[in-house]
Amino acid sequence: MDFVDNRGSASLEFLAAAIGLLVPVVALTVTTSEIASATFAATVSARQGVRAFTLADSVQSGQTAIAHIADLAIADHGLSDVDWRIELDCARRSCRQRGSLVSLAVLIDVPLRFLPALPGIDIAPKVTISRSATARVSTTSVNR
Amino acid sequence: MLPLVAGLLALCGVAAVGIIDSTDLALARTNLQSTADMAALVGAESFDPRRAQFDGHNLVIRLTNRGVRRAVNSFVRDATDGVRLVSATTPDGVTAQVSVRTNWTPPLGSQFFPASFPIEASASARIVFGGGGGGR
Repeated sequence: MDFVDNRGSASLEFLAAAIGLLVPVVALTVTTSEIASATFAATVSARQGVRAFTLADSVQSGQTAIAHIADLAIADHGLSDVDWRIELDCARRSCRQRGSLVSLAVLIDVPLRFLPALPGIDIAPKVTISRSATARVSTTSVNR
Repeated sequence: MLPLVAGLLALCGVAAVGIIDSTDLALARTNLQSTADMAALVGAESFDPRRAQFDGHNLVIRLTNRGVRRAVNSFVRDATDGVRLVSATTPDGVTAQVSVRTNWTPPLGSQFFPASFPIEASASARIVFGGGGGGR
């Protein structure tokens, strides 16, 4: 029986397979991790931001509080150089009116660092994560 | 070599599906808990201000099961999508206790998770006049 055809260099095969398989896996893991972090950050920002907004003394101070919370949450989740924005929606004419429902959506653009580098893939170099939360302006607030 | 590569890819795929589905479940629970918290705050404010009394030191309010349920039901209906109110009561006339439920569906189909199953969250809140609001 001839075993010559089955011989090979184990270290060379291992290196070739490791580079070919592990690099995409690591790239996918890093990208997925950033998306998951952005999702958690957006969830926390929306949840805490809408509560802070309904407790704020004015619309401007409420939006400032939302910005502080979003910055803190995004930094806490290890995200850097990401763009984010908010969308406020109030059920009534004034967001400050007692009993008004306020919805806050926090949108975070996560750059896809590895996918644009792959040949033959033409997709947007970012994915937008959106999470929202709704709260009601307190009916017992005194500063309205 | 090929079976090993196929095995590795299969393991990576199963791990990825499990991690993505688990993350989505954790987020769904966080969102539902947030809804329960907000609903409890709404329930804690459902008292009738005309029946509030001043005992010389504090404003004394009285919640009713009917009032809490009506206010919370309205909030859940208007502010959420796919969330059902399980219970909204007041055990002591001051604290509002709320429990809500929704069905979670895994974003990636997998044989490791059922197609859909209910998750539930509870919260309670009470109003403290003069010393700031309270809730959890």
